[in-house]
Amino acid sequence: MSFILRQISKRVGAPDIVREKPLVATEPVIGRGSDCDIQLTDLAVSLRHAVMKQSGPGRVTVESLGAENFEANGKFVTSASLALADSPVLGFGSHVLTLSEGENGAILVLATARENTAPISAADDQKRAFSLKYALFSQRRLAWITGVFIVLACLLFPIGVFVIDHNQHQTISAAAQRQWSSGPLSPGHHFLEKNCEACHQQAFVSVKDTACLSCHQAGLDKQAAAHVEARSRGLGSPFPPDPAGDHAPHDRLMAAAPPDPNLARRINSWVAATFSHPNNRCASCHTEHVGTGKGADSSKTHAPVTPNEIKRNDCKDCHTNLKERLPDTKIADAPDWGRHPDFSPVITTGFRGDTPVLQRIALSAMPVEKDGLIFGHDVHLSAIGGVARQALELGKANGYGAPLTCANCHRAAPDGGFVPVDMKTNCEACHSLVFARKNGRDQLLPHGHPPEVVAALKVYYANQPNFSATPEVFMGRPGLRGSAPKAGRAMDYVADSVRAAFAPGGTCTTCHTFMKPAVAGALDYKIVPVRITSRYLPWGDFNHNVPEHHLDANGATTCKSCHKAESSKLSQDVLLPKIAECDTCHGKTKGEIATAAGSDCAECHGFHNTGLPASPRRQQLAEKALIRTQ
Amino acid sequence: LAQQRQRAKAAASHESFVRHAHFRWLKVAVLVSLAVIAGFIATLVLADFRLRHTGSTWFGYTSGTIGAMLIVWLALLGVRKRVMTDDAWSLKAWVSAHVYLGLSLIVIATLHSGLQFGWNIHTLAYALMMLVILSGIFGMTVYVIIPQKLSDNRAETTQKQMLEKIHALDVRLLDVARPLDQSQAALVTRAVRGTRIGGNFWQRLTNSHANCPTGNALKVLAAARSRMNDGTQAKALDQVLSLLEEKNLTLTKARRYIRLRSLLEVWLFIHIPTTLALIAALTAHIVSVFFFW
Repeated sequence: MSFILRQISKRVGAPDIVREKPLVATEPVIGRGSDCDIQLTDLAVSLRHAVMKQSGPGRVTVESLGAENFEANGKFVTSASLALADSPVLGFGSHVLTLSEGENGAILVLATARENTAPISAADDQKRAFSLKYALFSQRRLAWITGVFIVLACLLFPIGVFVIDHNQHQTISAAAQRQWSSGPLSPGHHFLEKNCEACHQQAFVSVKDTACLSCHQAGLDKQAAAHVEARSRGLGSPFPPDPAGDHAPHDRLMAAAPPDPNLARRINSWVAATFSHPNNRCASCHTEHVGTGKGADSSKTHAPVTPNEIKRNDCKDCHTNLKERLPDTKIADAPDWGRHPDFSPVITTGFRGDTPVLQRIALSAMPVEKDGLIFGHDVHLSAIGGVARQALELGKANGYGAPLTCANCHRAAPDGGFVPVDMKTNCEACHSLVFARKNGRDQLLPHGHPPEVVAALKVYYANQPNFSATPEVFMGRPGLRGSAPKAGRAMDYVADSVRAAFAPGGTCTTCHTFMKPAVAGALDYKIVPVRITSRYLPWGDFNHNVPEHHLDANGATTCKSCHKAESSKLSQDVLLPKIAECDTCHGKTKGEIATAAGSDCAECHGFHNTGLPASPRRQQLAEKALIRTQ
Repeated sequence: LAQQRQRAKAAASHESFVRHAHFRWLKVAVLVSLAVIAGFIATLVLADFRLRHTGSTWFGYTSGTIGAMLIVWLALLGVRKRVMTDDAWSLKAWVSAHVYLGLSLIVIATLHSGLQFGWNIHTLAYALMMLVILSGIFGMTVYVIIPQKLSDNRAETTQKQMLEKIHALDVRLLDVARPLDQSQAALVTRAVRGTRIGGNFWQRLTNSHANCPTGNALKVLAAARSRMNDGTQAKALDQVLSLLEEKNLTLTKARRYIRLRSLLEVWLFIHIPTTLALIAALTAHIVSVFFFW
């Protein structure tokens, strides 16, 4: 039994072409491949799609050779057993095979292509169907859009604002440049958050000290300080800038610092310096943009700067073996509190002309303060004696009324020191300068300059209507003894009065020392200048207002535990306590003493502005850690 | 034994980018990461860094430079894949290095950041980089898993064959549906004209085609057929149903294929655009850091 293939090719507008050939194979293979017996040129047909076999008289089986099925009498199957009598129809893609009984018992396979099966699957359709690109978007377009957007918004916009706007419009600048900020500023600088150019003054140049000092310059005169404050207020600062000086010249500070013992840190410094980020700048220690911007309770109030975020060197790093690095230094080493050197107060050792000669002398060397004054604390503080008597007599109405205490003369100043003792306020109630009374008013000698005293007396007696007579009243207290002048001329009155003031035993000599005029009989007495020390330890920040610094265990004011004034006979005595006095609390633990206090250098010393007294403002800043005083 | 050896040889010749050259690039990436971790420890931990400024340390500069150069090199895969070579730097070797060195960037960039994050360009660059890496990890995973499934599902038919078959079925459907009444013919026409093989993005990815016109026609016509007595009309309907069923099967197969292919492609829609965005953000990061130095 054999197969005969009759292939009919349909043509548009022309008769069909019919080719007929007997098939050699007894089991012809149907497929697209050229080796197939029945070749069907259609991509929907597999290369070797199915095989046809005669399974019995008038019956044919067709079986798929692969996974692809075919159509048999309208059903899709992988295997079919067909009776030729039914004229079965097979479908392979666009081709239809109709089987029937031919001549001589052969099986006639009539192969026709279905109509209207123009090939549609262009490559484009395939992509459209299978590639995600057509369902989504072009990767390349999105890549370009986002990339260009980021370059414009995050790079060119901020640079453009920097170059063109120069921070004229802070809202724009902030919008442009804040995205570059790696973190919030410290609370003290928070107001500069929108003003990058306040610190970053030049592009590609690390923040310079000049930028910091444009607000924080120390040692300015009043006018310049006012100008700087106005400027920082203009920048939005809620408070005046804190002046920041160095506690030694910058180059000496750098020279004094020992090489970092930590190799890794040394390498870091070297690299930073190489990349033009030298570590001798303000910003090297005062690192900004490193905070979290959140308070401890994650509120919006800005977290204080923690010491760790600023502190770089410990004081002891430099102040140990300092002489090795700074041979000419006069500062003694202070490796720690226990080895803190003895206090060396600033002592007036004498005067060169009117200028005091100041010298730092260790307390242990028993310094003598030549302050030019004759004064005994013991007399004034004694509960008995003339001074106490007089204080009682002056009475409460005049602010006395009891034997004198320290507070009668030494009034605390808000900066932690004392209001300077002043003749008029503190002495004159007893040490009167009244030398006469005229028209019911006390006539006072001016205080301070001998020539002014002479001039005042001259004026007084020159205007005396009847100078031969005694002045209206002569005050005999405490000077100007000897009632009437010897002569009756005005100038004699003047000369006598001047001598009564300045000559040994005179009014002024109670407290002051005078040098006689070079020519005998002349009136140009010279006074030994006076300098009352207000700060013996200008590098320390001792604050008398700290309660523990002036109250005893019962809360009563006590000065004498530190200052042995009651037994001091001379004003030459330096009444400063020894450092051991500080040691009773500082460096102790709460277990040892209730008033225990820290022994950190920063308790008394500041890295910057070490010579300035602790102003309330600085205290506040230090407490709130808006700045760090070390 | 000979069979085993042969299998081993076959496995070696089909070695994927994952196992390329005995995990050479995995080893390199691990070494690079370890070196960076060591640098981090040496510079910042040993230096007792109390200041959170990693930028001006040698570690900051070095890790930043390595990271930036890596990112540029990784991005060059897009250029490299368009060039054919077959030497030691074959595309497979390149992809292997791309994958493993890309993963090591997680370590390098995270340590470079010093974990200082905020709403700024620096963190944007980091976030974009992490997005690229995560999408890359997804891509690597699907590249390992899916190709096998893909060829299993397709059973050696090509995309073109699937389309041709559906088209041929459509033609036959229109032909066979002629005897059907108006509403049924309309269903068939809609099945032919309105069926979309792929569909939209989600349909492709999830392979959910609930409202497929072919499926609808099949359901409605099958129900109609069950209520119908045999006859000429029924015979025509049977033929239509048979064609619809076949089309539905073919569609299911094609759609499963599309879903797998979409999984293979979808991560690139994040990976590629984000890479360019990353390069832009990285440029802004580097310039801004030195601009406001």
